[in-house]
Amino acid sequence: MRVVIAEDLALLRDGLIRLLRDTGFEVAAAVDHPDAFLEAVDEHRPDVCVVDVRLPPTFNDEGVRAALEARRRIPGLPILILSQYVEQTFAAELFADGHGGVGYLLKDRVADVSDFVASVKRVARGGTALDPEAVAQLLVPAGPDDPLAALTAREMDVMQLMAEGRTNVAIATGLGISESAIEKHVSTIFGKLDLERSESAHRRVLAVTAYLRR
Amino acid sequence: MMVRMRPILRTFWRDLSYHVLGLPATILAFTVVVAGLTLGVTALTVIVGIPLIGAVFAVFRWNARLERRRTAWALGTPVPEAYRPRHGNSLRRLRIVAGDPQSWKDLAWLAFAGSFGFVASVFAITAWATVLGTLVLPAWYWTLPNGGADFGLFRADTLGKAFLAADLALVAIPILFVLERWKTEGMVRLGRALLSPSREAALAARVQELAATRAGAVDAASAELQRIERDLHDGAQARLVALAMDLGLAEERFARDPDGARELVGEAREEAKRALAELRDLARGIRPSLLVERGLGPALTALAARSPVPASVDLDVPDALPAPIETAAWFVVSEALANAGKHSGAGRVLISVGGLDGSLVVEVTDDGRGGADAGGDGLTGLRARVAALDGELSVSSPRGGPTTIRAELPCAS
Repeated sequence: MRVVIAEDLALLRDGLIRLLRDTGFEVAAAVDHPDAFLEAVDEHRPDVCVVDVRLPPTFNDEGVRAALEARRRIPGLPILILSQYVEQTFAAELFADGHGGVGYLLKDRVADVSDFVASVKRVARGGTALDPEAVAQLLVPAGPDDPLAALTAREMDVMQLMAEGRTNVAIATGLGISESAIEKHVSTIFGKLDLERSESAHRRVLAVTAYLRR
Repeated sequence: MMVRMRPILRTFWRDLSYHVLGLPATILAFTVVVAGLTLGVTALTVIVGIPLIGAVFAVFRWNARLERRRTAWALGTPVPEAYRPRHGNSLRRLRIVAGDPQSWKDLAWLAFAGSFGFVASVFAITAWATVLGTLVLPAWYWTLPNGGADFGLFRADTLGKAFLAADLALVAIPILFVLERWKTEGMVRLGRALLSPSREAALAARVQELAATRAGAVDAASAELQRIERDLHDGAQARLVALAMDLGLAEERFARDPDGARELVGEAREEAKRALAELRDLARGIRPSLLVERGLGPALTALAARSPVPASVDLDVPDALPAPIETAAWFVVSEALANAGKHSGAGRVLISVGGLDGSLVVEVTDDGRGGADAGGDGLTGLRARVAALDGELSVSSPRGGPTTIRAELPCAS
């Protein structure tokens, strides 16, 4: 799997290169600037990109801007955004375009190598990876009338993992219960929140996050 | 009755010198007012006259400034000056100047000084010259062409009459002194009233000044916060992420490649130590600890000693540098050394620091292969840090080397 990395700090860029090479990726290019990133994407057509939110020149959200531009040029280009903090908007525009293959993870997640690699691969295959921290921030009921408050603790767990972009199989493994039990939970959640059911994991994330951000 | 001569003499000299200074000053004011008004009114009739009117106002202000000094001299206290702040293009500035009541109060005083003030000065000088001359008339009456001085009621053509005149002059001294006192006092007060700002204008000027300094302080504080956030983001936080990454990789590797894993753990430990050191530095007044304890010179020497590429230092660090300048200089050298170690393949680095025209100049040159990317590798962050202090960072790195990173940091506050 070929990957393009955009990260301005040499220390982290070198670390990411090593980590991804070590776990069987081919690093086609590793750059430190949005312009260089767009060039690299044009040239290498990677299977997935790993992009830092903060890139020069202003270190605000150039990473997200560059990712949006790259996906405008190559629709559906899988991109995983890395961020130091969960920011309020966490690349909402990226998630909103309807194509899959988007991820938003805290940089800390690289410590859990197998989980991180699984997220990169999921995004590469057109799936979704939303950071648990970002989801947790959204999973707070606004008040007693919020339909979220009607979810049981177990349903909340399922909702959390679903919003992170995991498949039913992964949720089942993560929670240690059967897949059919997960399917039942999912259908209850969609019923309680009055959401349209969807089989695609990405559409499911979209529905769930859109609901959470309403 | 005890008459204290000293203060009276001092007052006499002050009043008299006010008028002696007044001779050239009032002639100047007269010239300025007449010439200025003539020019100004003429200029009003043509469009190209606008800069001319501006110049006329500038001359009025300059003259008013001189008059403020003369008044302050007679008064013994300074006469404050406050004009409305000028901004925008020249037309806008002219409008502000013309709309400033102080401009017209200045002109009123100049007109007064140029007319009545001149007469008052001439009178004061002539009167005192006559009285003092008459006082010593017995010594010189005989040198006069007609054998004496004509006082109307009598002719002082004998020694006796000369003494009589001198006695009269003696009587005239206190009278003239009191008259002159009143006149001078009146003029000086009028001058102060016209030349110093009204209470409102003075308060407005003060508010303006405070708002400006406050805005400056807020800017500085928020710039400092931004810098701290950058230091954390690029420093300790990044190191901890790298450390976590190394540990994660090591965990994966243990089963199949224990030696490789051990190496990664070793690197992780080094990274942890560096992160700890950076956090400690940040905590300690947000500056590298050696900087705080020893100052820039020793801190840079220590940095050079730790450099991965052998570094020599040529330091001529000026005394009493502002703390942010020292910190920025330190970070420039630190980043440049790190870059030289990572990318350049250099065998030697020269760090030179010295003062030049009120700026601190920091230069780091390596003998590596050059071709450094000025837009990346932390150089951009460094540029922002230097720019926050109104400084300039330049990178020269032709292919084949050498690479020079140079920062100029203005020290004047």
